[in-house]
Amino acid sequence: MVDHLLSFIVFLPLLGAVFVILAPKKIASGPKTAFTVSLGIAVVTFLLSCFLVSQFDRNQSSLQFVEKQGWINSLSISYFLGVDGISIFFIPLTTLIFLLSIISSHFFAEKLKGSKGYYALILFLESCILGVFSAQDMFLFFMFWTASLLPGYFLVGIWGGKNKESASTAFFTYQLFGCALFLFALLAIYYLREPHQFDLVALSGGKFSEIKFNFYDRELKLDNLIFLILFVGLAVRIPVIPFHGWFTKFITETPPALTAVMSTVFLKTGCYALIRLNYSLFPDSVNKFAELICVVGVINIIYGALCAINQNDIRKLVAYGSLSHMGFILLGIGTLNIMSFQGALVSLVSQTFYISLLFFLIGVIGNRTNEFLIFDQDGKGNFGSLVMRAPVLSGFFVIAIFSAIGFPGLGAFVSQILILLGAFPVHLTLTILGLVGVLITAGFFLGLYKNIFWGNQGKYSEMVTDIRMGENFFLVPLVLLCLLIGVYPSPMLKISQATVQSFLHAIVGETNDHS
Amino acid sequence: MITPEYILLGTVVLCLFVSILSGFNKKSTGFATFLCIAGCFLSIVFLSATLKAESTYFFNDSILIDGVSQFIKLILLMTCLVSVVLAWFSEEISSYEKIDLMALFLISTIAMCLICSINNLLLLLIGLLIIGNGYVLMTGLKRSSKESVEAASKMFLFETFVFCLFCSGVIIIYSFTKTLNIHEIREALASKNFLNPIFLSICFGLLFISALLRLFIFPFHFLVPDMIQGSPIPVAVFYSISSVCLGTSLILRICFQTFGIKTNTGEWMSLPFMDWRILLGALSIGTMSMGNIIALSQKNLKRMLGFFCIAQSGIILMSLSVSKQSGISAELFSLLSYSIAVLGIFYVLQIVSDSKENDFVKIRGLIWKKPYTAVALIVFLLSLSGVPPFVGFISRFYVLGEIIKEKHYVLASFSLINWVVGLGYTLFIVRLLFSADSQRDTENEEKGRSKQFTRLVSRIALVALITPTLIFGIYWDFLMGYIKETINGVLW
Repeated sequence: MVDHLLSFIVFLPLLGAVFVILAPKKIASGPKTAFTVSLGIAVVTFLLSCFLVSQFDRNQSSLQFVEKQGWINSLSISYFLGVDGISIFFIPLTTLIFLLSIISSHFFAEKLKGSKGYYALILFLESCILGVFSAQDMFLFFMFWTASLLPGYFLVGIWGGKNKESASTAFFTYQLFGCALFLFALLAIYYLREPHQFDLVALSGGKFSEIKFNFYDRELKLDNLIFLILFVGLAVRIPVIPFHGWFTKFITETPPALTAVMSTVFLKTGCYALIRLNYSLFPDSVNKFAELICVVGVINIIYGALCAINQNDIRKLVAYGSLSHMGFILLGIGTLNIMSFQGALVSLVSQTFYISLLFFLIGVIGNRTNEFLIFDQDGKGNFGSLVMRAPVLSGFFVIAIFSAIGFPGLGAFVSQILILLGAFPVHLTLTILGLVGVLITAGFFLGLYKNIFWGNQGKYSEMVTDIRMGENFFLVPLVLLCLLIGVYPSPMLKISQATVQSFLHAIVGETNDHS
Repeated sequence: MITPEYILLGTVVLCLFVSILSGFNKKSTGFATFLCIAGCFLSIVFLSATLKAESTYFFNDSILIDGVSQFIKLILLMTCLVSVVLAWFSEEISSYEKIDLMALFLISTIAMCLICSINNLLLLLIGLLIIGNGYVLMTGLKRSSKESVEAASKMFLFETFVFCLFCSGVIIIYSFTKTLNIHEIREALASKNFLNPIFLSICFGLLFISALLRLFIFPFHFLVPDMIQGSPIPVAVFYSISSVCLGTSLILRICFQTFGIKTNTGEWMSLPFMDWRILLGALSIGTMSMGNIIALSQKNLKRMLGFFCIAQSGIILMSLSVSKQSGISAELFSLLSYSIAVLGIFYVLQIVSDSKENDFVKIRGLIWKKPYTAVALIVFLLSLSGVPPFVGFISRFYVLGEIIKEKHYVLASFSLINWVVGLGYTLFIVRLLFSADSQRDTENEEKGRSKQFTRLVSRIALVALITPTLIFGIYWDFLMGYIKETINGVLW
């Protein structure tokens, strides 16, 4: 079974989705059965992913749990799965967030119309995202990547908020634009280099740097051009400014139980693809454009933080906060040293925890009140004084917010410190700007907490009750993980160290080990 | 080798004979349908048995049977079969008209199958005449509908125009080469140094435009949406697929076989006086862009699908602009994926529509009423738009791959932009399926079509169309291998 463990993990949710949809009414009818089946599948997938991590050899920098089988021989496409020190984190992370989302769906969407389809689509999305994190063949990667748009589109388009139609259309259109560029890059990579292949391992290591071509009498270097096309294609999903137009709108219309998925693991596929494709295929171009990536990252930090200040919708505020934090990841991977790179990886994981926690908590408030605006039209607070009415909710919110701010011992602290320390000697100005971003983030998150939990009672305050027993199932694990990653990130750093070292070595040659 | 055509001919005769004897009543319609389905099915079986046969000339070199023609014939027969089934279920067509329609489907299919293998311009002309008449009669079958009558009138003008163009082209080329055999014409054009290339260019232009008219290519697409909107669904589906197949076949005959020279590298070069490869590329850009952009503003579903079909023709044509064997492989693959998707989409529309309306109202909220049918429609729409993991994506992948391999980056960029735009209105249709406020009563809609047998046939047909959409979307190696094998054996 260990030989095919990765395939089991990737395709078990898909099988679950097919079962949920096609199961006869006698076996699976009604929302409860669909939920139970989905929950069972999600739990098993999560346990298998934990087992995968436990079996991972941290001293190896190469791919592990490799499964390679010929698929379309005429095009040299293979069914090629594998994980290394970078992708290993994302497998349990994805399965955990999906598990928690399915649990929260039970509370947030009790009287759901068409629940079979809802749960089947969640499981399908999980399979696609797991596929992206484990595919080592570029074609397979693209198939999972594009297929993940469909469940996202339908989940929001059918079960989303009031403006679900425009939000889902914007999402799909933006994402397709990215996919079109990705497809162009994929075909160029395949056809413009001999032998034609999609194998990411075989293609990595700067094999495109010598290929040049004429474009209207100008000689262009192929790797730089494809790097940029691919970067823009992936930037839509990360999302990088100015390709973020779909994001905040989409997040506000996403069903509360799925906001965590769509704002964390779904976006993480973008960052992961940037590392897996751009960095491994075009090391020379990475060196050339690394500074650009850092600049783009800092723009994301500042722009996201500034936009968050003026938001009245809690979901939009957190979405912009998430956008800002994505900038830190770009700064980390653009700095090209081990410390920053590992900081970016830790950030990818920690961000998933605290952003998911924040969205789940917002979902809890929204579930009670059906309101997400901080102030009403007259400027009076809709909430306020919740700290006495809902002390546990308030406590969890404090942990989530302080994790996001980067308070020592919590969520983002380690990752931000690593990224900024790594970037400091290389990009002083950008580091200072990044620090400014941290301060602004602290400002708007503390302001959010103050407006919701302190001050005078608002119109909806009485409707907010404290966390219910069942809701702890999806909140407590995230609270604990926010605390854990803040105080004890070393297992993550150790697992990723060997891979990151060899990965960066291929890009910049000699690396300084700061870890 | 032309057994399928003989079988179809026998079926038509038998079908009409039985119908005349039994007096065109309901029973005879059922029997005629059964005969037509059996005839189509038998033809497909016979054709499948000879798919891999070597290229051979028949009837004094007038007919050339090769892998490409057999493949296109297979698509045509498949389309004919589904169209017959659709005509049987159709509430738009009266019982006695159904027999006429089925006979017209079969006769047109025979003519089209022959055109795919004909190696003689005069026979090609006769074939086009038969098909043209068939299309006019089919389109005007719904005599009570103004749209149908208008479409038939336009179709008549259109077909006359095509015939005149093609006829003029044939006359000019005959005056130069003194032969109507395509193989001999090509040899004559390639070997002789003609004094007047302008006349030859005009001749090429006339033949080329008549082929483009069949393939819905911009700016010769003008009547296609009217025809698809005005005709009953079985006719619309038959027309939108068979015409594209026919157009493709004509382009291959005219550009590759008559005005092209095959090199040792497996590439077809155009004759010096007319570079049709650039023309094909430019026209494909125009067709794709125009089809997709105009489709965005349509208020009628069938009309929108008409523009969708136009945009798809552009993609098929684009693959032909790569005048290599691999380009033709991509084109045949695209043709198959297009046909399956269009058959599926119209099949679902037939299931949900009635004789009164064919607009967006009928599919609104379909997912809540008929979830499996709605899912099938989504699959076909997404496949036609080129979304993985469906067969439509693979065809796009091959076409784009060929374009990029040839370094036609402008073409590739337009294709990608059109991919995104095309998905825009596909999603508009898909969104309607999920619309919550369906104003119609589900139970009433089930009225009259709740027969178990009809439901069973519908489900079987849908499964039969969804299966290749999914299977060839995930594993298409053997299909592509087969297509490449057929092209390797062509004698032109």
